[in-house]
Amino acid sequence: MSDASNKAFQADFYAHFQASRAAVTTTLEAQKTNVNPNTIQETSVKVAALRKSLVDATDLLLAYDRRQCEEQMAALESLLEDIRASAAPKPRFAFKRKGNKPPAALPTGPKPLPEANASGATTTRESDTTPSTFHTLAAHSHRYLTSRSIPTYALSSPEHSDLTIADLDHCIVNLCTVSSLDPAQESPPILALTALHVRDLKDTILVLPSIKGSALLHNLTRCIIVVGCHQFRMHTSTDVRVHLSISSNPIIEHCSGIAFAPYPAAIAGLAPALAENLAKKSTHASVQDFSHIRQTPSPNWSLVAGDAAEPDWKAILDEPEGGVDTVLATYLPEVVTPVP
Amino acid sequence: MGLLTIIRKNRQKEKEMRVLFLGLDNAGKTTILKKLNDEDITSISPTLGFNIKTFVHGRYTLNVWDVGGQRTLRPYWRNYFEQTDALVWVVDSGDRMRMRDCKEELHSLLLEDRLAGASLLVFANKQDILGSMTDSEIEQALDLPSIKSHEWTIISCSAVTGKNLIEGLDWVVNSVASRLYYSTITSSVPTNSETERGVPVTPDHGGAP
Repeated sequence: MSDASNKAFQADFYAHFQASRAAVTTTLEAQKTNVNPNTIQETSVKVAALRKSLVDATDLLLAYDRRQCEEQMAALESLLEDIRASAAPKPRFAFKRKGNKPPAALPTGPKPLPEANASGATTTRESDTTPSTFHTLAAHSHRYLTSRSIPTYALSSPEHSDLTIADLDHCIVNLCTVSSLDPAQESPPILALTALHVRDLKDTILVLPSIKGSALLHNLTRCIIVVGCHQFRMHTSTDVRVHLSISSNPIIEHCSGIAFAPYPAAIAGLAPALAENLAKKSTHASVQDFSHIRQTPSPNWSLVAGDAAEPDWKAILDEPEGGVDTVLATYLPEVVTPVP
Repeated sequence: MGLLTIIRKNRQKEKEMRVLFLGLDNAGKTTILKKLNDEDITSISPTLGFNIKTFVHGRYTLNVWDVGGQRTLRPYWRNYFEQTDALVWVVDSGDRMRMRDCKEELHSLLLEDRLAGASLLVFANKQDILGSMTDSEIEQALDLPSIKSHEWTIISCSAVTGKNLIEGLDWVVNSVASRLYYSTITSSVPTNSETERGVPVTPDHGGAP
């Protein structure tokens, strides 16, 4: 259809529609006071016809006209419905669906598997007698922490264990090497971890080996994190630099000012055990920002440039004699404005 | 299409179950599915959007929907509720700090009309990790005994070792079948599966199937 004929049609339709609508509205208004079932029947046919003509013309109308007509049509139909309702005698009885009624077929109580129940009962008894064996490092400030600082570390050094780090302020956590100050002591093996949960860290440097599972981090502010893992998720954090070795896509959510860099070769070279668990080909650069699911690059994270100066990891890893604050003051400020 | 074809197609459809895998992020939903499917589990990225997997389990076909659990994706869970026969709620048994979060998300799901009548399996995942909470601890932490609206159970499992994964599917199939089909069930190892990968769920197009 050509533009000219289209325009003519639009004008015609609009005029016709408005005329019919006015006629029907007058009839209906009159019916409001004096209801006649026959007239209502006739009018409802007219309304239906009008609706049909509008639907047929929908594709050809201008957006503004269409919206206007739709609104007027809806108003007309609701007016007709109102008059119908007032004219019709009250329905005597009707089946009504009640919301939120549970289906009758459902059993009234839960029926857990008998065997699951039985095993559940036995594990309760076990867990009542044995102490929890998960590792926690929590609630420290202005301290240098190593694996010796974990209270439960001496109890066992199992193959698969879970480490929780929480509530640290102005700390350096080094789980990669042992303090060089007491070389006489036999160095404990590097922690073998399969899961890492981190929460509420401020002005803290965290140096961890490669773990065999996932890392989940919440609420970090002005931190440097060194870790290797299978999965990396960071939530609600700001101004953090992450040195990462990973075999999947790291993700961030509700974060800003995050910088990603590869796992430092200087730390991986400290011990063969540290190097062998690292990902062969790290994908730390393919970060996904769940708060920014768009084609455009996320403003919340950046990659540290390849030629950017590495921190002096030895100075960070060794227990500082003058306290951790000087070391933190040297390395943390640059985190706040990550190299774009 | 002949009558026989129609009948056959209908019967086939009756044997299908729709299973929805949900849970907080880092629970191991995708890892469980990949392990069941004998795929590599070392390079799984956090799910952005959803995955669909089809398992033949015993005499039934399970269509499993695995939807990402990140906080930004949770509002989209509701797009996947329709016609769900069973809900599998996966829990990271080592994530003590978010058990409350986990409980609240689960209980708000159970209020959903469109999930009424679905069987609920709670997978206490990551039992291979020492120091994980036991299934009975999680049962208490999630306040499962208070659930009266759904038939539920909790099974401890490990996606890494594969422990109890098949048993969990068995329970799902038995529970749904006894409710819907009134027939006997035989269980077997899942075979013949296919994978599809969903497009990312974005605010623009909702990501509804």
